[in-house]
Amino acid sequence: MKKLTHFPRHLQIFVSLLLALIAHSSRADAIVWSCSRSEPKQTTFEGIKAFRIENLTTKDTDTISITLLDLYGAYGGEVIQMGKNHLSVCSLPPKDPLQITAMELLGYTPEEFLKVSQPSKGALIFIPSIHQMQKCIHENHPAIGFLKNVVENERVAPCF
Amino acid sequence: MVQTHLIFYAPQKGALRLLCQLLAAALLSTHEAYADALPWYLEADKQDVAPASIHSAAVTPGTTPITVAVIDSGVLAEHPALKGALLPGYDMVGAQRNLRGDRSTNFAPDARDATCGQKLVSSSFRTHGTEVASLIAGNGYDNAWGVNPKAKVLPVRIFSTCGMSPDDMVDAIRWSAGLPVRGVPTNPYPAKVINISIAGGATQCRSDLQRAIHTAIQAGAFVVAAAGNNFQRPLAEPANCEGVISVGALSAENKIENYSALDPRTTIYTAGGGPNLTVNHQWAKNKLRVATTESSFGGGEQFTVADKGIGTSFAAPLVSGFLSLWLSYRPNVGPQDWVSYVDSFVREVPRLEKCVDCNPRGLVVPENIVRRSK
Repeated sequence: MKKLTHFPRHLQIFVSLLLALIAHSSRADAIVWSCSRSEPKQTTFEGIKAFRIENLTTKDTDTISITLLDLYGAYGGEVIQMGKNHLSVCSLPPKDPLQITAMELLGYTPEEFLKVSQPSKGALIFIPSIHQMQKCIHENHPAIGFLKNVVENERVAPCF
Repeated sequence: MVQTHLIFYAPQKGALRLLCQLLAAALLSTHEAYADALPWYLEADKQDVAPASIHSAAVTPGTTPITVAVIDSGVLAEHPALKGALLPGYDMVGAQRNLRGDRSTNFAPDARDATCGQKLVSSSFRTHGTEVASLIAGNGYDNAWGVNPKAKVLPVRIFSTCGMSPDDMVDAIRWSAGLPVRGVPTNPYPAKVINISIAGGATQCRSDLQRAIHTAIQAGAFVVAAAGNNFQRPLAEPANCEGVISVGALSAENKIENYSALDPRTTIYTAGGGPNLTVNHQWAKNKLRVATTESSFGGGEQFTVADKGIGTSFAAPLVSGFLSLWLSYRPNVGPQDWVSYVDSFVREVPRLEKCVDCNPRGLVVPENIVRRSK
């Protein structure tokens, strides 16, 4: 009996730790930074695999190119110049758990993001849910946002 | 340094210039210590040295000048922070992606207003190569210090407004190492270190790229590549190629940054900057100080220095700069010898739970290299 009363407590702690570990390690996987693409018919070098400074994607040249510095800047409220256009940033409401996770991945606290998410700052476009994210990224080209999975089609592609 | 700074910016008219200098000197006197500070990632002797500092400030460069190729988006040769540091490089961007027509000796980035069809590239790509070069060999202008201010940078452009191709990277690596490339004059300044702050391409190193890297290593070049900013995914090319010294990014607090690739094959970590830290230290801003440009009042462009570097792109040149510093005392050491030396210039880095096979090690300059003369 003694063993039984102690063992579950240890087990409980172990399981809690394990769950916390799994939750923590899966966080980064929950966010895929995604960028808008030009219309495929406008692709200049279609079919050629290309490198990007700092970026992982091998897809190509119709996906907008931004650096990590731009990613931090964009979510920090800076205006990012893309040729003659400005980069748009599709965002969930500041208190949405997924938005909080994304900002934590960049090292921004919810309070910091709340500060920069005032209407006058940067190029943030707020959408009510993650289901509108692809549409937002596509319709506001050049734009960046995040998705829960890797999505790659004629509208968006992973960009980090 | 402060005097140089004042003279550069002060108006040329005598009395006004003197007045400006006096005013600036009075203002600067209260901030002198900060104005003369070395970047936190190089500092060695101060009380509050950042945990991720490589301590290279304690080392004076040796007498042998070491050439470091910077394979990147081109370098702005007129930047005052790079004065005296650049060798005649090359634009290796092939005709298909070259807005200037073809490969040439003009290694400058594309013009500010350059466009490539519908492709949209952020303006930060234009200054990327200049920023990387300044972290290797910056001369201290406005405190833009490189790890080895005596290193010689060989700019090799492969990234244009129209992107880049793997073939250009292969040619750039070969040319940097002094190997022949068809249609291009031989490089008279073969690089001892090749810095590639670019990641992408395939998840496995392709044979032509691997062959070029092996050949460059056999020719005596150390090949250093950014691990990539893919938020904890495995290494991509060229960092995943055999023989490459792949570089991950640390915060000033010596912790692996979230954005850095996470892979047991990562050779070494060093400061890459990141979000601001909530500590009461000069290094709390957690950015690397780079030579760059900014928009001028009239809509033009002017050279500047800014604490803005974030990414493995900026961690890699710290390792390249360190190698050039180390090699300036040991010019006969080759890349094959790396394994026997590496344990003497690393420190522990906390492991991330997500990668149990990783054994991250951070760069720190060994104290047995001659100390910098004050």
